[in-house]
Amino acid sequence: MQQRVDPAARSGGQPLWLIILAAGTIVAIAMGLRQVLGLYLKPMTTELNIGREPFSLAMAIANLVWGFAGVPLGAIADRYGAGRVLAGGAVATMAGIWLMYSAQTGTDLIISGLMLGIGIAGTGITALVGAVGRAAPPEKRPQALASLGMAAGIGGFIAFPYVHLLIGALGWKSSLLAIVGTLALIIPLASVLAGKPAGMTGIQRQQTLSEAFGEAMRHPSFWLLIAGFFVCGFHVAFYAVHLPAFVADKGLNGSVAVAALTAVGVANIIGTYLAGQSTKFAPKRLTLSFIYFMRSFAFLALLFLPINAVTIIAISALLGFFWLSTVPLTSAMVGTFFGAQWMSMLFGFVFLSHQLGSFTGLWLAGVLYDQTKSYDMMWVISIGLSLFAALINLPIRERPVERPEAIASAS
Amino acid sequence: MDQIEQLDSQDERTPRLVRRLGFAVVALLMAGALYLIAVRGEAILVDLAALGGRIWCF
Repeated sequence: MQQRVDPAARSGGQPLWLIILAAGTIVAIAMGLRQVLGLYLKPMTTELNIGREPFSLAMAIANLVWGFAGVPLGAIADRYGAGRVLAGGAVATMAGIWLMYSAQTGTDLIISGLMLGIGIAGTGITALVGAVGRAAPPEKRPQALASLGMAAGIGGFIAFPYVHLLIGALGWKSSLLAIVGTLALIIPLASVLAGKPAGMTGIQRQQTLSEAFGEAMRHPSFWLLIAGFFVCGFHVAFYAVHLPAFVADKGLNGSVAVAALTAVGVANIIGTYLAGQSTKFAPKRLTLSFIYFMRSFAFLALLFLPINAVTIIAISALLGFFWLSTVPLTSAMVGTFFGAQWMSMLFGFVFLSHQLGSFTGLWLAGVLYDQTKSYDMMWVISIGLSLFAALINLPIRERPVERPEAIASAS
Repeated sequence: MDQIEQLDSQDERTPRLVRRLGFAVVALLMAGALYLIAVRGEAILVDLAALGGRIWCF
């Protein structure tokens, strides 16, 4: 039975393309600007004379809060509509940036990190997957979610050079005000996604939050998906952050690292698009398994191929194709299991695993590098984790959970 | 029923003008970003290196 989405049931009855366009623009702004904050470490800590620890701590807090706040904010978006969560998230992010602008002490920066974490959780991909997932018919959901992933990739890609240019042209303080102005664009865009989600047509029954949570916790395939996404976070955070140091260790010029990260960014956008399209002819779990399996080749190549500019850029491009292409497939799988009613909340839970994976990857890479003065051990662990993730995605049951009471009431 | 599906399909399709405008804006922004990365890429990396081991990526 093919489900159809009643256009009137979408956020404010808006057409699907407008919802995707608004959600894509929001996620591009939010994900792009959250990534550039590292550019402010040097100018801020130099001018405020506070040392680098408070700033780093503020960024770490922002990322932790982002991961943990994704679940409750996702639940609010699912229950009351994404519009108010997005608008609130935008205001919190703007307040966080404003606090950075006016900071005098390390404590100001830490409060700023807290606000930024809440803000990013409210405006990022977790808050939006539910709105887009509910708006799109199930057969088009992966492509719609892939559009969000691509927008996040584009936002991340373009934000760095433009904000760097902005800091150079305006100075770091004024550039923060420009960022606040850019973030304000999210508020009118959020109105497109406003409105309490209406029930979908078809066999779906309304679930309470605790029912949805309990059902997900008891579903083995959900846990397999969570474990796989942990590996995704582990890989991308470790590679993106440590690649420049790895390139420098190999005696290569800094421009090679820039070209390699650019290759990752461009290939990521293409890979995310292809991942969305792949669901037309392949089960999502098999494509996810393939993505993780292919990552192992990239890490094998880093371990065994002669490292020069060409190999680094080629390997990075290969890895880029399999970078965040996991996002539309993973989020669409959540929709396949449980429907779209609590999609943001449940994907928020999966996303938390991604963030914990990111933390583990970064932490372990630092520890192992300090002990061995080499990344070899991390490549080996990454290969092992790739194979682990490829395997655990295979037994996932890619079908809606059985709800005996729903069947009983339908009959 | 067919009519409803046809209306849905029209409703979901991005208008041609919006699609072309969207592609043009994204292409321009990406081209600009690639140019800036080409001329300032190493400076960006140097500025980011200070936070290198401490940020998380998505």
